[in-house]
This record gives sequence, C-alpha cells and structure tokens, in this order.
Amino acid sequence: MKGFAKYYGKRLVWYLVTLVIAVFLNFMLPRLMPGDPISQLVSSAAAGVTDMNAYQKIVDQYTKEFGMDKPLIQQFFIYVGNLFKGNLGVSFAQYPKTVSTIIKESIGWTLALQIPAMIVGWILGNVLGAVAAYIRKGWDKAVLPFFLFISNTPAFGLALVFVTYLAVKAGWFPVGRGYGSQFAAPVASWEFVASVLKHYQLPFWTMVLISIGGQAIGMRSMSIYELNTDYVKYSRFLGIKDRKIVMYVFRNAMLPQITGLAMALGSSVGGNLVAESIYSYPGIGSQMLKAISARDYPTLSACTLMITIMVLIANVVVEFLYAVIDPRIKAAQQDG
Amino acid sequence: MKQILRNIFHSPRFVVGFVIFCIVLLLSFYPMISIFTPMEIVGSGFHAPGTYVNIKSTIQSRSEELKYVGAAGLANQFTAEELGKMQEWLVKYGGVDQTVVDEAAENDNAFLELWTSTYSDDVQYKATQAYKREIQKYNKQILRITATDTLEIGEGDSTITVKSNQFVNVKNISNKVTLPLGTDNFGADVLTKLTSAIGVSLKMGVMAGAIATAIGLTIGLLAGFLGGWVDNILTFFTNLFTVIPSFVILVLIANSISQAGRSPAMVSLIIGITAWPWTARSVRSQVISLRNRDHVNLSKLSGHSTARIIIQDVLPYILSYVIMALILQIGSGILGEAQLSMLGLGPSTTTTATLGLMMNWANTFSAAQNGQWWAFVPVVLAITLISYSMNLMNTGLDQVFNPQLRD
Amino acid sequence: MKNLKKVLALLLAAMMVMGLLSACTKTEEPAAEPTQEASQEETKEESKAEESKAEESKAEESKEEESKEEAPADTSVTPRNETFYLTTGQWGTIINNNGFSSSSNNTFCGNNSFTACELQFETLYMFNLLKGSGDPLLADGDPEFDADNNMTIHLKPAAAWSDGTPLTAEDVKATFDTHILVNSNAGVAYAPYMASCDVVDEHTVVFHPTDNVNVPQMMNYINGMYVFQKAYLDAKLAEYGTDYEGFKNDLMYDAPHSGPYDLTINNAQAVGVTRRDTYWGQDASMWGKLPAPKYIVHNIYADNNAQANALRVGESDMGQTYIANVQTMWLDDGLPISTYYPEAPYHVAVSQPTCIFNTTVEGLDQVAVRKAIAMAVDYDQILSAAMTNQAPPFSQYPRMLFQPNDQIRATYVKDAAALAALDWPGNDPEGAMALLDEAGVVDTDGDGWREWPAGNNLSFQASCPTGWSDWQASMTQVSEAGAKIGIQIETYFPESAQWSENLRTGNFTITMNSYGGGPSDPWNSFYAVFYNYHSADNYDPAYLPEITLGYSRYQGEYTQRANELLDLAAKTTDIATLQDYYQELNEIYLSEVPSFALMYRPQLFHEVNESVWTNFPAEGDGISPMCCIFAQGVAALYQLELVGE
Repeated sequence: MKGFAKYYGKRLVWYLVTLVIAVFLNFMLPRLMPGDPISQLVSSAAAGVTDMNAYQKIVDQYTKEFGMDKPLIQQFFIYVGNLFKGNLGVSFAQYPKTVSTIIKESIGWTLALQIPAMIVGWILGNVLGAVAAYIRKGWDKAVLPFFLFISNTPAFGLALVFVTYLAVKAGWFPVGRGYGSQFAAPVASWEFVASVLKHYQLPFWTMVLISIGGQAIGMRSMSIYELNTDYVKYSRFLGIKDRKIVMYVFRNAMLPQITGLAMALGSSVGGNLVAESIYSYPGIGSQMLKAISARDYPTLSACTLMITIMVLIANVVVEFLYAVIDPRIKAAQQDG
Repeated sequence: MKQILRNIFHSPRFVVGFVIFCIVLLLSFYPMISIFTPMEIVGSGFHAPGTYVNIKSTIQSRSEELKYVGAAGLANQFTAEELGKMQEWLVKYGGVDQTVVDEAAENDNAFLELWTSTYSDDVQYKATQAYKREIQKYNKQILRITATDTLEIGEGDSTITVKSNQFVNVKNISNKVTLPLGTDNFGADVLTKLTSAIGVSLKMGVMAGAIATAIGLTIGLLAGFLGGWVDNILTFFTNLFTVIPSFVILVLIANSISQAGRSPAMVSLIIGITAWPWTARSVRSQVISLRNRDHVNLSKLSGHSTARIIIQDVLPYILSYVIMALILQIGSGILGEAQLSMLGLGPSTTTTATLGLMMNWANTFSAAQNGQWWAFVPVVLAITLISYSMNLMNTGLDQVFNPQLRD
Repeated sequence: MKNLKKVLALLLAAMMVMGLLSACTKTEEPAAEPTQEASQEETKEESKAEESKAEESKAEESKEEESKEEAPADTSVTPRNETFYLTTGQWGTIINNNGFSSSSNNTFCGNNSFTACELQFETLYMFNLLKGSGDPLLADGDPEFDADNNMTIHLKPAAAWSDGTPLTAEDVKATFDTHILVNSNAGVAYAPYMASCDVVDEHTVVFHPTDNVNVPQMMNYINGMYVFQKAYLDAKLAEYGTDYEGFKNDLMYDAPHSGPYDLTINNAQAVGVTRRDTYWGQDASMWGKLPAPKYIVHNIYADNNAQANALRVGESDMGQTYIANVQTMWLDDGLPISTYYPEAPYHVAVSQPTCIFNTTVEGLDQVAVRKAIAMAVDYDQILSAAMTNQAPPFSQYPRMLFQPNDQIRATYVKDAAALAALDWPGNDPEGAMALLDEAGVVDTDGDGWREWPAGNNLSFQASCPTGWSDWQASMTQVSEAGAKIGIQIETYFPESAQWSENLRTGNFTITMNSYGGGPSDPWNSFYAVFYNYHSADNYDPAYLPEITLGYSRYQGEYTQRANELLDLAAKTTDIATLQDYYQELNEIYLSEVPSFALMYRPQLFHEVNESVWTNFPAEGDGISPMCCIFAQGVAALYQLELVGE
C-alpha cells in the first residue's frame, strides 16, 4: 500500500505541473493569434468617424480599458491573480459582459445536450458492438458497417444534411435554437418543456449517431477477444449457461470502454462546436466559435481552461479507478 | 510475408475497405483526362448537373422535321396543383363564374383564351406579394405557350425561322458540354475540382498521418523502453497534449499561424503534431509489455546497443499495430482538415482545392439549403468514403494480426 | 473478480444517476432560470468586475429589479399573429440599452448610424434610403440652414416620452452636450464639426458648426443620433460624477424613450419589444395610428445560413442576409418568399464595394498600371459569382461615386456624357495591354510579367478578410485580370482583425472596402476615396504617422485639388455648386483611378416570408426597404397586415 501511495503522490505532482503549464498555454496561445482584436472592435464602433485624431482616441480608449497596453507577461500574472479570485475577466467581444456570465448562461444548455448524448451514444454503441460480436450475421455484416459509415461522416456535413433535409425541406424538426420562438423567455410550463425537447432532437441524434460506430467497433473487438479466451472455452466445456458466460464476457470487455466514456464526459463541458453552431444551440460551443472569430481572448481562454481542467480531473479519476478495478494494472503501475 | 498478405486479402472487411479506397484513389486521376483544369471557371456560379447545349449552335445545326410535336398540352406544362391555382385566381380575383372556369378547364384552348382575356399583370388585387409573383410566373409560362408557332431569329439574309416541329439530333450539335456534377459557386466543374481535391486531401492526410505516427511511435518507444525519468518526462508531455483537447490546440495553432503561412503542407503539419498523443500512449503500453520478454532480455545480455534492441527486437512486434495506427491517423487527418476548413482555418490557397475548402465554400454559399446539393453532398460523401475505407481496412488488419479476434 | 464486480456495479449505478441528473437538467434547467433572474445575475457579475464602483452597482441593481418587475408578465408567450419576427444583426445576447455605450450590440438601440432602429428611441430625422435624405420624425419639417450653416430644427409639439412628459428642445440639447461631455464615440466623431446646440424655444433648437464646417456630418448627426431625456441624463450624470466610463457602461434598461415599443424580451435566444399603446406618434402630425405588430422579436441564430433557414420555414418574417440565388426560393421551392423587386437585382443597391490601390507602392504609383487593372477586370463575372446578380450592373448605372439610384443621380450628375467618356466597360485585356505598352510598362525579360521600374516584375497582393465570400470572389477576379495582362496579383485573405489592422496602418498593396450610403452621401464616398491625411489640417503626427483608415493613400498633383474640392463641398448646401464640385471630383476619380468600384451592393438585403404578415414595402409605396425597423423603413410597420384579413 505504501508503494501505491507513493506512486499516486508522484502522479498527482505531475498532474499539477500539467495544470500549470496548461494554464500558461491557455493564456498564451490565443494571444499569439495574428490580428488585433481592438482594430476589429474599433472598426465597428467608429464606423463613420472621419476625424483621424478622434479615431485614435477611440483606439487608445479600448487599449487601456482591456489592459492591452501592459506587457504580455504582466497581463499573464494579472490573469492568474484574477483566476484565484474566481474572476475570468471581461469579454472583449461582448464587453462589458463578464466571461463568467457568458459561461453561466450557456453551460446548462451544453451539459444538458452533451451528457445524455454521450451516454446514449455510448450505451447504444456498446450494445451494438456486443450484439455484433455475439450474434454476428446481419448485425455484424450490415448494421455495424452502416453505423461505422455514419460515424466517419464529418460532423459538419452530417449536421448540415440533417438541418437541410429533415428540418428545412421536410419540416419534421425545427431549424435551430433551444426552444420555440413563441416563447419570449423560458417559462415553467409543459408546452415549453415540449418545445425544448422538440428542439433537442436533431443536435442530440447527430451526436449520438456520430458516436455509435466508433464505440461499437471497439466493443466488438473486445468482446470477440474475450469470447475467445480460455476461461470462456473452459466455462462452456463445464456446461455453464451461455447467458451467464456472455454477461461475464461483456462486463470484462466494457472496462476499456468506460475509460473512454469518462474522458469524453470530462471534455463535454466544451460543448460541441459543430452541432451547436449548425443548430444555433445556445451552448458553450457556439460561444467558443464566436470567441475564436472575434479574437475574444478572455472567453476563449476560459472555455479552453474549463475543458482542460475537466479532462485532467477525468484522467485522475480514471487512473485511480483503474487501479482499484484491475490489480494487474496496479502491479504494472508500481513497476513503472 | 506472402502468407500474411493472403490472410489480409481473405478478410472481407479489409477487401471492401481496400476496394472503396482504390476507387476513390482512381477518381483522383480524373483531372488528368478532364477537359477542364480543377480551378477553371466554366460557368457563372452554380449550374445543375447535366449536359448543356449551346442554343445558338442548336438553331444553326441541321434540323429535321418530325411528326411528333412533343409535350405541348397544358397538362404537360403545369402540374395539377398549378392549374388549380390558376383556376382559383380566375374565380377569386378575375370575377369569373366557377361554372365558366370549370367548363374552360376541360379544353386547353378555351382555358388559354379565358386566362389571357382575364389576367394581365396590371390587374390590381389584394394578395401577398409572393402570391402575385407566383401568378405572374404562370402567366409568363402561358404567354410562352400562346406565342406564335414560328420564331424568327436574326436579320436580313441570315434570318432563321424556327418551327415547332423542327428537331435537331443531339449528335449534330457542335457546341455542348457535359457537367456530370454541375458547377460550384465559382463556376468551376465540381467533378474535376472534387477529384483533384481528393488527391490533395489524400496527400495531406498521408502527411499528417505519417507525422503523427512518427512522433507517437518515437515517443512511445523511448518512453516505454527506457522507462525511468525519460518515461516520466515523455509521459508528462503526452498527458499535456491529452488534457488540452487536440481540437482546441489545433484551432489555436491554426489561428496563430497567419493566413499567408497556412499552406496545405503547413496544415498537415499542424494536424500531425496535435494528433500523436494516443499513438504514443498505446505504443508505450505495448512496449512496456514487450520490454521484459525473454528475447529482449537475451539481447540486452548480449550487450546489443539500445537502438539495435529497439529496432530488431521491439519494433517488429509492434509493427502491425503501427501500421493500423497509421491508417487510422490518415483517415482522421483528412477529417481534421475538413473540420479546420469549416471553421475558416483550413489551408489558405486559391490555386488548389481541398475537400475541406470545397465543403466550406459550399456552406458559405448555402449550397445545400438552396438545393444545390451537387456542390455539397458529393464532397461530404468523398470525405466519408475515404475515412470509412481506412476504418474498414483497419478492422480487417486487426483481425488478421490478432488471432484471438478471428472468427 | 468479486471486487471488480462490485466496482462495476457501483460505476453503473453512478452512471445511471448521472443520466437521470442530466435528464433533469435538460428539462428543468431552462425553466428555473427566467429572464429576470438572469439579468440580475448579470448585474451582480458586473459589480464583481468593477469593484471600485461596488456601491453604485448595487444601487443600479436595485433599480434594475424595479424596472424589470414592471415588464408585463404576458410577454413570456408571444402569439404568432401578434408578433413580427425578424433577423438582422443580433448574433448574441444584448449587452446594454445604452445609446452612449461604445460597444453596444443592441439592434434595438443601434446608434450613431443612419440605420438607427426607431422602435425604442427615436432620431430627429429618419433616413430614407430611396431618396438619400431624411424624413422628419421627432423633427417638424426639413432642417433650415442660414448663410453660416447654422442648422435650425423644429420639433413636433406632440412628441412625448414614455413617462408622459413632453419631448422638448432641452432634451435635444442635453443629448448633444452629454455626447461631447462623456466622449462617447459619437461625441468624439462629431466634436470636430459641431460646436454647440442652443435652445431657441421649447420646440426649436439650433446647431452651430465649428470653423471646420461640414454639412454632411451635421446631416449624419440629425439622422443617426437618438434623443434622450434630459432629466434622466442629468440623474445618471449626477450618479456617476466624472466617471464617464461608468456612465457609458451603464445598462440603462430603464431609460425613458419616445418610440412606440418597450424592450421587454432579453435573453440568450431572443431580444424583443412590446408595443406601448400610449405612443405619441398616433397623433395626426406623425403616423396617425399605432404600428400593427404588438411584439417585435429578433431571434438569435448562429450565422447567416441559420437565419436564412428560419426565413425559409417561416420562423422569421423578415431577413436581411445575402442569400445566393434567392429567386430559387419562390421559383423552385414555391415558398411564400419575395424580395423588394420581383426580378434581378431584387434589392435596392446603395454601396460600392471598391478595389483600392496603395498609390505609394512602386508600380501602383503609375496611372496606366492602375487603369489597366481596372480595365481588365470582368465586372459581369464578379456580379454573377459574388452577388448572383443581386445588384444592378455597371451597364445600367455607369461608374461614378454616386449611388445607383435614379433620383440621386438626377440631382447630382451635371454632365453624364463627360464621365461616360472616361469610363471603361471592363473585361478588356487587349485595351489594358495597349495602355500599358503605350506607357512603357512592358515585359523586357520575357518571363510573362511586366516590369516597372525596369527590372522589377509588377507583383501585388489583393487582400480582403477571409469568410467575406463576395469580397473574396471579387479579389479573385482582380487577381485573374492581372494575370491576363501580365501583372502578378496574388490573393491574400487574412482574418478580419488582421485585415482591419493592415488597412489602418496602410500595410497593403491592393485591398477592398465599401463606400456609399447614408445622409452624408455622396460627400462621404468622395471623402473616402480622396481624402489625404498627409496634408490634412487636422492631422496630428503624434499619432500613427501613416494612418489611413482604409482610405486610398494617394499622392500626386491632383491631391491638392481634390482636397480643396472636398472642403468646399462640405460647406455648401447649394445643389448647383455641388454639381460642379462633384463633376470635377468624379472626373479625377475616373481618370486617375486611385480606386475603382467592383460592383454595387445593397445596404440591407430584403427578403420577406408572407405566411403571417403581408403588405411589406414594395416599389412605388415610398417606404425604404430597411427591415421595417430601421430609419424610415419603420413606416412599414404601420401598413403591415395579417395574411387573409
């Protein structure tokens, strides 16, 4: 147990260092983008300004307001200091709105879309993979290849095809946004819930469909591998009921799949850039996309930081869980 | 070796994937035989797929008179719904009695006469603009039907008279062009451009995949085999790239490189250097399991250099795995280019086409929503097929190389 | 093994709980967060960010709550047949409702521009796109200029605020003074030209110009600037003292306004207004009635495509985005959608996207090179590829720095034939090459590219922001034109932030910008093309030495004359005199080619879906196609009808 603690102590230190460097990269990378975010703000704010000195005054005003007149390294320390106070800064593009407000407004929508979609995609994918491995026939020859095909479509393409043909042309689904436009604001009524669910379908199924194939193919391999192991053959030889064997097989095969799910759930806070933007879904992904094109450093840094931290946590959790679940891995870890 | 190849080609999944891939690859040679160059502007914006016949040269071609006059009746010119709408107009806004309209509807000429005598674009009535314009559209069509039987084109001696029973054999028309997939928003032939883009994107995918696999393999081998502090540092480095999702790094780096520097090669490089972590991780774990095998220990005892041990005693055992990883990386490299381009961060070039850029332009000009599917759907399909074939080949190989997975 | 089973069971259970939780958030989360709460949180966040003003913010917060509570509860659901949905430029939640803010993104408070939204706050005049000048709104009759260009404006006696008090000359003066005092963007922009605003009587004000008289800028002011209530401004200014930044960032959701609508809907998915039935404009001196829709809502979509989709399915009644091949919507898809004109060009074109040369670059300092490029460009291809023919061609409206508008051209063009003689049809590489040969700009080393000065291949970069599809298509055409005549022009599409920076600092060889439109037109088009900062009186070398603001950097003997003419034209309102000045400026434009228009383009596209509302602006009814909410386009709201009524 001592080696165990020592090992994890070490791992934690590594993760902490990773976090520090990730925070630094999160701050620096967006700021290395070419183009001055202020020019863009000014060019819209000062449309029609024809006096040159006046124009420069507006530029100066913005530069000072955003603290862009200070050296980059000083900006970084101000940023870190503010992080400790829980202050993510003020958005450039939606000035004077704070980044925390932007995130607070959209995180709920994103999580409500991402987590169920990931879990449903994961469950359906694993069931399909297991069925394909066990039953074979059409499941393995047609259904699984079909879903594999879908999961290889670029997400943008699939979303656009859906929105064009299922929403615009056929009219079966709404074309976008979180709820119907008859609702001026979210209200507590069943009609509203129904509307939210209706708008939820396309982005949800796009994400589910894209993830099924990948999950299924992984589960299929693991299941076949397990079905061919000695313990299965031995159990069959002993005459244990097939159903019981299969339960064991699939439980074992699922282990690596759980890792994947945990990591994916960690990154879910980032939202889905693709699905959210094509369906005008009011989540973090849409905000990030806007921030990228508007050079909104604070918003962008905050979003990427959030993803990074959640993925880090997911990593730590997976690593600990694994050691608990599988003693073989624990041994290997102590060895390494 | 022969045996392995035979096994590989006995795997149905691999064969299907391989065939799809070969077909796509063959397509990429189409620009060589196409009459257009990939970026050549053939039309003015979107044109639907089909064969385009020059009207002037049609009129000037040798014509023959047929007894068959073609589809001339009203029922062939309008749908039942459209005819119904016109009848409705006559009753509602033309002040014609329903019975009169019904009677006229029985006979084409009577209906045409009733319509032309009642309707004109100057008639004032209260309805939506959209409705008025729809009726105007029908009226235009009717005017074309009721126009005189023969057309006279040109002046003086060069006058050509066109009669309605005159036909031209399509073979005799000298000036025509076939656009199998129509043209895109720039007016370029989609088929030529798409097939050339497949070539470029494949190259980009291979380059990105090779870079990612090379980096992942090197880091994984070193970390796994050497262990200790080398392993710690390399694993840390790998983790760093895993916790910041590669897509985020991709976007950030692509954004940091100015537009001018984003050549296709540079974009492949960017994709390559962000996609390696998972390869590194899996290679590392494979190497760790190999590290203490007897033959490796034997080599160590014989005093072989580390490099030699890695190359002779470790690499061959994970080679099949590396090949599979490479195939997957190529597929995801092509998808990565498409994703980046859709965010406006793809290669910056106006002289070559890539699949991602084509998809992005089609989206910018709302091709799908406006019904110009030919500029959009084939591109999505091409990307999917390439990536799909890679995946199929990978699964096929997996079955061959891992005997436990065999049926 | 047993251990493993336990853990797995635990994991599965945890997953199920998570699934349940997320399913709950899915349905309950939005409901638990009504608008009121969200905006309160917003204020709280702000107070955190600006700790120094914590106390003021708190005061403001409580005010916010009050004003929000007044919002009628029935706006939570807006019946379709009482609501007019439109999509214009609202891409995110609104930031504030402050007309002095330097960063507001609020469509319903769009300020400092002639496309001012007239629903909440109102301007003195509302700009009429079709005439190129303003119609009176709060003002009564046209502005009157005396010999010294002092501008007198009468106000409508009926005009009143939402709180019932009359809108008077004092309010107009207070608004102007506040802009200057707090250094708002508008204040900074107008201060060089407008000295003061004086109250003559309760319904009359007079604006005095500075020594730097500029009538077009004064017209901009009265057409673009909202009038705010003096009492409200005084209270706010007293609250903030000299903290003008704080004043400019105030949310001002409670500001009294004179327009027919109140801002009642404000969340991440929509911004909307509700009609106030006590609106002063139902007086006979203005509209004589109330606008038809009870609610006007701008839903927030991710991009142009999403907005166009909403229009297609009738989720939106009115759109103003560019939709390629718009005619397919009714010709092929049979949708109840129409544009302003039934046939091409479909919309009212206003501006001139223009190709700009950096005339300080070797090669481009030669008139022959500039003109040759302009002659070789295929304008018809630009119009079809970039705009799918949704603007009139140059064959219909010959090139000159006036809008492609019959009424405006009839007013200002003095001698069309003289200008036509200088014009070029385009797609004429032979003519262009002849011109270059004649000027001695030839290819001596036989590599296919012409040289100037001797030994240097002519090689330029045509740039515009990436993603601006019509501009990119145009620059691609310019590049092809160059290739045809032996001038190497590469396209370069940077991010728009990068591009604006290059434009500002003059770091380009060939680029693009768009000119034209607005109450100060045509003067501002000429100004944009010609004005030379290097010789300008107000140029301060302490700032960037080569600042250009996107205007052609332009040298030569004609510079002096063009600047003179611009200064003269800014100081007169006499049409005959203006005709002379503009004629000469147009001649310089066409003969020196410091830049050249690539196409015409609408200010706002105009697409309507008539499934719910009908009787939208159409040719001949005199209403500007400006989204039914901007400037004089707001007149459309008074004639809208429900389909089938």
